[in-house]
Amino acid sequence: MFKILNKLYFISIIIFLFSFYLFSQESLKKEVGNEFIPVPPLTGRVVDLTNTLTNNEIQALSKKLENLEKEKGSQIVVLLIPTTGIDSIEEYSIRVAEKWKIGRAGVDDGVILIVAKQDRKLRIEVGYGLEGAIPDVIAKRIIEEIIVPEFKKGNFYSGIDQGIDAIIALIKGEELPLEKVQKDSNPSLFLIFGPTVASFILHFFINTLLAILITTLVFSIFGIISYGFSLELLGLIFIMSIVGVTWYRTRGFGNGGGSSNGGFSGGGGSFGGGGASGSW
Amino acid sequence: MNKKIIQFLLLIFIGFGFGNCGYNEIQRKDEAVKASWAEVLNQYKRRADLIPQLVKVVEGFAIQEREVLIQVTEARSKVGTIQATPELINNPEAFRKFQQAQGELSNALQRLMVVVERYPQLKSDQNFRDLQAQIEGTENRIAVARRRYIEAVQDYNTTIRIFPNVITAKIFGYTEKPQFQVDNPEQLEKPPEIEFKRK
Repeated sequence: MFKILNKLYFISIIIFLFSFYLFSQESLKKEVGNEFIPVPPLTGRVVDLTNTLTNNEIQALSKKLENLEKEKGSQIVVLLIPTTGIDSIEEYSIRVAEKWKIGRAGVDDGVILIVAKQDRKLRIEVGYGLEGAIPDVIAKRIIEEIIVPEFKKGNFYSGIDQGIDAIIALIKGEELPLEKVQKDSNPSLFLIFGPTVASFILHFFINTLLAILITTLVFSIFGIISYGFSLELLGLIFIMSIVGVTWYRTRGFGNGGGSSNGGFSGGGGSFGGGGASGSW
Repeated sequence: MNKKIIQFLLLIFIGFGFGNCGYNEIQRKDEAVKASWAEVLNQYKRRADLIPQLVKVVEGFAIQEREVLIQVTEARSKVGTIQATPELINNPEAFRKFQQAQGELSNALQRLMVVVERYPQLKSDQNFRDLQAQIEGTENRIAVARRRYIEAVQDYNTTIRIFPNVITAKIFGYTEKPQFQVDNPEQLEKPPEIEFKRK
């Protein structure tokens, strides 16, 4: 009886300390403040929430943008919304950029064309990596000389299409890395080799399967705390804990890499607030 | 056998659980603050570099607006006298002065842009429009860089205050970094005065 109580006491101290750790480590994700107009989901390369463009026009634009990405790797997206609410178009635009992460990570070659139709305002948001190809002055000129004249006549598709053509031409003239750049992932080495070591040690005390499970569980928790929920990371942890008990038995171990699903998504590019705005 | 496991697990939890008491995290966030501050300085410098050209172009069309032009030039000089270094964030007084000087430059620029509105020839000059695009772009970049600095400092300050990191921070001498204040709370109450010169 006594022994059991002792054990319980012991275990509850462990749990208490551990939960202390859990709660003291704040999530690294930032809380976005009260948004009047939320950033819409990235449903495609052309997101039109104003019903301005026809389906054919949207498809034609998307095809053009897709071809650019295939050819140069850069991503351009177009967003039409009724209004940016209490945010200025610049404030709203950078929020969209930070959420959608258009352009390749590390290369940061993304461009977002935002049209706030009711506000009669538009903006070209340029990623860090394209600030040389599309300086603010040029972005302003594209807006003033190409897009706005068309918008003033009510030709929204034409304005957007020609503006996109101009942007594409600038990007094509730019030297950019050719291959698909892998996102620079550097999960702490602790999370990669920790499971290996831990499961290796553990499996001397308890059976192999239990060792793998416990190790995976513990390190997964650390992984989720530090990096958020990431299936790739959890898979890696699991695999590494298996490696821990099998490495001296088998040489050569193939990792199955998960490929991302189809459909369009941002490449992880960042933005610094460059670009230009205009109105019509 | 059981006791061994529990001891071992306890070791793991304590060892990894308090995870070097946040030392690594503090390092990471300190670096993040430094990086975002460097970006803020970068953009402020970019703005300061654009101003001489701007003044020159405006002078070409609106020389009579001497007062506003002088204000802008002086505000820019004042900013130049403060050493804009990464070390600024370790000196709260210097930081405050720096922020104030930049705020005055922003105000002077705004007044200039209001004045420019009354000179259609100036407004349609291509040189001027290019400069205006660059300045607007830079102002936006400044705003973004400031916001990211504020977030980085918030994150860092919180990290060194929570337990158990607060102990580590005290041991290694990590103190709170200064935060951007609203520039001039009193001035916010007053609407900006706009002088109309009679031609």
